[in-house]
Amino acid sequence: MAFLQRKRVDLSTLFSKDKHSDFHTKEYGNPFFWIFVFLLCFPLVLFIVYPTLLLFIRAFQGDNGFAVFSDVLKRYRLAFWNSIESSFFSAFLSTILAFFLAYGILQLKSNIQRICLIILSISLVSPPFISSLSFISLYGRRGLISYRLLKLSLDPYNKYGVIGMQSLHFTCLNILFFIHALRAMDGKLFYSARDLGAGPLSIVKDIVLPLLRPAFLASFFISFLRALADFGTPIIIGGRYSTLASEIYLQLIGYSDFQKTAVMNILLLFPALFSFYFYRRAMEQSDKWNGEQKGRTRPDFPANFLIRTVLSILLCLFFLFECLQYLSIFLYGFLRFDQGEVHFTLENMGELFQYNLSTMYLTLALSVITGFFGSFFSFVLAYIVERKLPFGKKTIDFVLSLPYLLPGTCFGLAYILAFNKAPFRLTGTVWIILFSLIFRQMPLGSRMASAAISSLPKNMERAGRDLGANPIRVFLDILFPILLPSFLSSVYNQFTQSLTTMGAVIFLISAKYKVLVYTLFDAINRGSYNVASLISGIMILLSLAFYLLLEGCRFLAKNRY
Amino acid sequence: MKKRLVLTTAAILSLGLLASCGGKKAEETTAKAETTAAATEKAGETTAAATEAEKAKSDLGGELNIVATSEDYKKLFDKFTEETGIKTNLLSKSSGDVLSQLKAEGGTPSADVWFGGGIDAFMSAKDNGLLEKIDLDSANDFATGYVDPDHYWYTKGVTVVGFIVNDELLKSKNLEAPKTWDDLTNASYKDEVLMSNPAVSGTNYGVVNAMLQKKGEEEGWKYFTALNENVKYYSKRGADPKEKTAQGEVAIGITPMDKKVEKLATEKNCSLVYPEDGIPYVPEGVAVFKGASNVEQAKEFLNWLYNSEDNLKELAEIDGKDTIKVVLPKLSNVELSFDTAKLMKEDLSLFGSQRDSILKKWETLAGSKNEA
Repeated sequence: MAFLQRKRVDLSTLFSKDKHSDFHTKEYGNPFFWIFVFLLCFPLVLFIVYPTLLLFIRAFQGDNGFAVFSDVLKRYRLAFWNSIESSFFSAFLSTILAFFLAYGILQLKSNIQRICLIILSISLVSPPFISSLSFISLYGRRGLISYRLLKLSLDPYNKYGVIGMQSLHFTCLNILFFIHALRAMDGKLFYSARDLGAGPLSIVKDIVLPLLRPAFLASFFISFLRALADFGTPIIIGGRYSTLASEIYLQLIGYSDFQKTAVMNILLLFPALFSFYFYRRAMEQSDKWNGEQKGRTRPDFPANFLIRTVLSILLCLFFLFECLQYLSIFLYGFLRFDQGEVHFTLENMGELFQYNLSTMYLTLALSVITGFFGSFFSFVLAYIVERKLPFGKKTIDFVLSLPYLLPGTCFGLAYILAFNKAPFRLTGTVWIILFSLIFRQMPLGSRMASAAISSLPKNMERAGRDLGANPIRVFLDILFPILLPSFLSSVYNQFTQSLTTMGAVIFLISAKYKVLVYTLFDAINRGSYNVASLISGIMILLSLAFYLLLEGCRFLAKNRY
Repeated sequence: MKKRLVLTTAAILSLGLLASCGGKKAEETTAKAETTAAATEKAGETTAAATEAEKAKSDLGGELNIVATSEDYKKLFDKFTEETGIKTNLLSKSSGDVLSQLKAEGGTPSADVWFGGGIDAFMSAKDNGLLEKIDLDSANDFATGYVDPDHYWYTKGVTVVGFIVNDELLKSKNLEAPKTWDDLTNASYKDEVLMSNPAVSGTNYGVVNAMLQKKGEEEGWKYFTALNENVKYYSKRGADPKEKTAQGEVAIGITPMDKKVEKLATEKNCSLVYPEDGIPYVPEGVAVFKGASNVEQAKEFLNWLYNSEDNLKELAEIDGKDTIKVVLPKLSNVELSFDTAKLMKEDLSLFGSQRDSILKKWETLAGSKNEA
């Protein structure tokens, strides 16, 4: 690596821009390349395209397919616009907020930075139900903070509640997105800008923001898709404000009407397709710029006093908010409520041990496999798609985003429809859970992967190739070490998502194979909120342990290279 | 070059294999953990019980997968395992989930027995041909309406419906707690009532159907139109009304009355109200899925449960209510703690046949609540 870095200096000037696309063509004649591509694409077809298609076909099964379509269009027009409205604002707010916070975090000393990152990583584990319970008990109409402290009587059951909760929820992940993108920048650019007399604001405006375009786009796009398919938040806090996703949930659970569910899903696909088109086009434009970046000097982000103060205040508020929420989840486990009074107790711990620990091991195993395997798969695929394939980029990219376009329950439903008969009989097995987790989280991994890969200087690979390395060596020896931080954070993201995902597995778990989040669900259902919060605590601790483990890996790898 | 590619492909494939081994290992650990758990429990039993269990143990063996409304029933199924040697796996799921999953699985259900949940879902499942016909000797002991005339489903008790009331919130608004269903339409409770969507909640479907039967079609819908004015919104989760009332988000929640809601009420300083103008109720179903892999074992379980007064008493204790007596009036070791006269008069046979039309009408009536 160090050797390559020294040699790299002027290699880029040897290539004129228009020749860039040619240098991979060697592989196209190689049958093994195509076999490799086929092996990568086959699982996508089997586990994403096939189930989704089966679900959509349901829309046309039945005597009056067209009538259902027009009925759905008429009845859910408002829910449809609500979906677009709330998803747009949630994605917008969470992206902007995440950028400022990420920029602020990178201004901090490295110790405090590390603590912030740990808190952020914990907040990725947002155990369903219990976090909304804690949200309501803090900020609801009789909330601890909103009512007892600030004497406000808030009513969060409307669109602002939905947008607010979604934005805050998505922000954590987006911050991590931005931190990675910012850290990957070349510090030399800032130095030269400063030498040329640029102030901090103009450096941010002219250098940081344009270079962050892929990160902005990816963050916005992923958040938009997540918000479109999110049915949990509107159900819990939307009140009368319902979105298409929450209406789909109602049709599915309340009426078991698959035809209508499928039609509504198709409707949900339109804004998603539109945003996908927009995203892809914008990405292509920003691709043109990233050839310019080539250094690995640690960036030192410009700021002045005013920027620092504003960012610090923002950071404090945000982390206060996050800490309060997680503290209240933890505390709930050790409290006993009696006649409205609160006591401290340890007795809930005893109740916890009645639960079967095997569920925890299974969940842990599933999440770890999903994290590593899913991330590896998406990174290899993203590399092939971004750098190697002459065609089909858009198709594969779209297929990879599909799982996020369906609300979790529908993705699960599609899996049962697809895998309930031979030769693909998987229902009732542990495999169906594993595959659904891996492929449901795929959009996240592949988005992170392509953001990371597309912001890499192509020159380094070219240099490697010119020095005689074959594509696999280039991937393993040059790209992978550079991508390792992004890879590990993708592993962690997918780990936490599969630890806490509920919608997708709700139909797939069986009496034999249960996951931890279901135990949580059951505890809440039987009114044992204390036990539920202890289970959430366990989930958070598991993620923390996993996070520290990955940090250890990152540290070791850093020393090695 | 080619070699490298092959190598990488092999590496990736072996990674997949590795992953699958990990999965298998997890499965094995699960299985092991379960057996050890069962073994230790068994060891704890007295020898007398063990010999008795030995006698009763059929040579059926195998296993039984159950979807129930709560994992609280684990005790009951552990007892069954102990006495019959049939291994049981329990999963808790709401009846809406079960029904959708069942339909999607297309005749290859991943569970065998469906234990608990509003009877309307069972009736709907029967109409869709998703249930297995099981003839029990004890079928004649059931009260009318509590067993399917064609023996596709049975029942195990009754859910009664009432209100949970947040006293503090009412006091701060200077309001009295409602005593009757008619009170709920009082304009002073505007936006203070939370009710689950009857499509999702079998309990609330029971309320709607019972009220329509009590007041008659026309008056009944008039009532719900009036109630609609006061309902803040219709939650899409069955547990929302009691949770949100306990948290002080609304003053009144329409909820099933059971042990859990009692616990919640004492913890969060809420009170429970049994409406004076009649308590709606919904039978809780028990059935075997059509195409289940362990039908024999499932039948064995139903016989085990319904032929033994001890087992039924155990069930009543887990449920924390004695409504099994309503289902099986002959039962001698359980006594009803409340007067059945307070229950509304319901023709249970209408629950299934009217479901679609009622929910459809409901959607148009309550649809406006979905708008912002």
